[in-house]
Amino acid sequence: MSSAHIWIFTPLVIAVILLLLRRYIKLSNLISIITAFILAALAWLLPIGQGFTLFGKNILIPGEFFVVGRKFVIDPQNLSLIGLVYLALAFWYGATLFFEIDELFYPLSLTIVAMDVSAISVKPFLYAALAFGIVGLLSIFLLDQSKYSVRQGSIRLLTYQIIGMAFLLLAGRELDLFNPREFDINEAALALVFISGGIIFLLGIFPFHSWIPMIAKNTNPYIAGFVFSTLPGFMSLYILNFILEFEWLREIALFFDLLRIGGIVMLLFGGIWAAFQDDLRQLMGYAVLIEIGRSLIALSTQIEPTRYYAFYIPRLIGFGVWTLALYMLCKRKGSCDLLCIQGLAIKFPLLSLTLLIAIFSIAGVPLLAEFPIILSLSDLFNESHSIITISLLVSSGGVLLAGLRILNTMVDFEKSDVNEEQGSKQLGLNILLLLGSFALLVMGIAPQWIYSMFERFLSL
Amino acid sequence: MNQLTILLRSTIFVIGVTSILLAALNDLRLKIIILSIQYVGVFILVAQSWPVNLALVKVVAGWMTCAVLGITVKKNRYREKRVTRENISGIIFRFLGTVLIVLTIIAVTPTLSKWFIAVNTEQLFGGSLLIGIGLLIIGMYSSSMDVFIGLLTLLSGFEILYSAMEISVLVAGLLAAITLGIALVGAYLYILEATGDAA
Repeated sequence: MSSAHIWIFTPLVIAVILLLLRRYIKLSNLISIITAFILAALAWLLPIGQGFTLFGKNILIPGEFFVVGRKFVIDPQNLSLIGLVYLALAFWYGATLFFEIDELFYPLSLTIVAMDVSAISVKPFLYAALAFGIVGLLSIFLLDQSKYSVRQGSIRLLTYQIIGMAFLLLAGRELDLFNPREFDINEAALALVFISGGIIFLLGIFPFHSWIPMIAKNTNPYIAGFVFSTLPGFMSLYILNFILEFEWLREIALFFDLLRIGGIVMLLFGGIWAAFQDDLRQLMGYAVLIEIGRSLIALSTQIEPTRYYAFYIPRLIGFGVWTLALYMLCKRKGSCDLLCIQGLAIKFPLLSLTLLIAIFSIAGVPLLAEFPIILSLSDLFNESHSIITISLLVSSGGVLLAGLRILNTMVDFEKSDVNEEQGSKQLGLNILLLLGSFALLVMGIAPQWIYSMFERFLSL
Repeated sequence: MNQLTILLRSTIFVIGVTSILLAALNDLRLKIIILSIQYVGVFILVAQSWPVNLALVKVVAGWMTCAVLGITVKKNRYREKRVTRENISGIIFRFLGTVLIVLTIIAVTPTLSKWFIAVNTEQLFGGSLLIGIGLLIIGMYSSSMDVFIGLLTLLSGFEILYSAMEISVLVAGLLAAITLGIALVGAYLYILEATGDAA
């Protein structure tokens, strides 16, 4: 048994079992939580590539697994990240203990994460494009249900994923033919065009971003949050692998300029549009665009992988809290429109507070989790690329303005319905929301300690 | 002119006609039949680079895809009469659009052949044509089934080009899985659309 069997094939087998058990939602939920926790724990406990003794038997789990001429490599370098991903998934499943979600969520989400893990561990890693294509297909089943129709958004998502996949496969072929020792920019140009095309389509960079707000507006916020955390997240990790794998690519300034331009466009577009959103779900969609922009800017600095992984944690927690609070809010109010949350702060104080903390954290408000990230990004560029600092400010300002508008509406008690049921009765959910918000606060208050701890932990 | 050249040119002709009909026509059942004919052309072009038994994967997956889509359309005949008199102008418009794409592909094929050295002219022309018309279909139609037919056409075009560059059992299998997956998603969305419209 290799590491790929544990973290790729086992979740796929369990996903099939979950598909068969889909009518027993509580049982599926429990199995999913336990599976994700065990996989996370194994990622940190199992010594990969080193022999160990268990019940008197010597066991060696190799980090490589060969299949039809390709190999999956899950070594200690990316294992801590995989553990983190499965831990986040366990929390994502954990929250659904307190409310009902579509029966296909568990098998599909586990398959998506397993495919994403295969995408970041396959070698040559350009074959990850195929895994991303399959993830795009599975996401449609997750997003588009009879209750929530996101037809146009999901069709666009799939179309862009398939086109992006084709671009990356072609890029892979071009890179195989390319000889970096006899480096010629003209020869590299075609490979660069394909790589850039693949990144633009798969990450949903302007003008191919429209599926993100469309899906955000029309689907279950909790499921949308899951898709938005995994799809762009793993795609940006894939780009990071790209930069690390091809040394000659790091010499081409044009590639990093393109990443920066993409990042700036996404930040400006997301920030300006976020400020004027009246639908809280669509606001989340534009916040996702901003996060994609920040990822591109970070990648353009040739960031250290462990630092990039550390940046990923507050984003994951922020969106987790945001989607959970938003889902509960939309469920209780029957709408996610700004007008429907008037006076909400008095009826659902905890929900309102945690939603605002998550929004302000994504905005990058000081003393919250994303502030140190934005600060460090803008520090890198403050003199050489002032446009990046401006676009980071505009994006943060847009989300901040949207957050302030929400706050203003939430505390508008005069127009609220006094007969409505007050407070939240679900203790478990409240605890989860509070824990998430507390984590966002701690990461903002003690960033040096927390982020260096993350980096140490992820580089183990 | 040898037999292989005749076969390849006939294949290009079949691919050209089927892709133009896919873009121009409005009858879904007819389109699915045309798509299944197109997959034979795709198989012949892919077989230029791959062993025949591996290339057969394309036609088998393609026909399975058409079967899935065909059954779905047959079971959900809620909008049988899509071809009406007012759509004739639409058909002419789409036909002219495809003619433009064909002319563009004829013009750019010599340039493309410099970039894709491993791909022969017939494969390059056939693949580019399917990609171009696939994109046109995706852009012009709004109903899910039409868009998915466009997506399958685009993917077929890409597969022709890619087959000339790389022979891989794993890639062939995964691309076949993706083709079938697109058909399943298309059928799923079509049923949702049908039930939504019926309600």
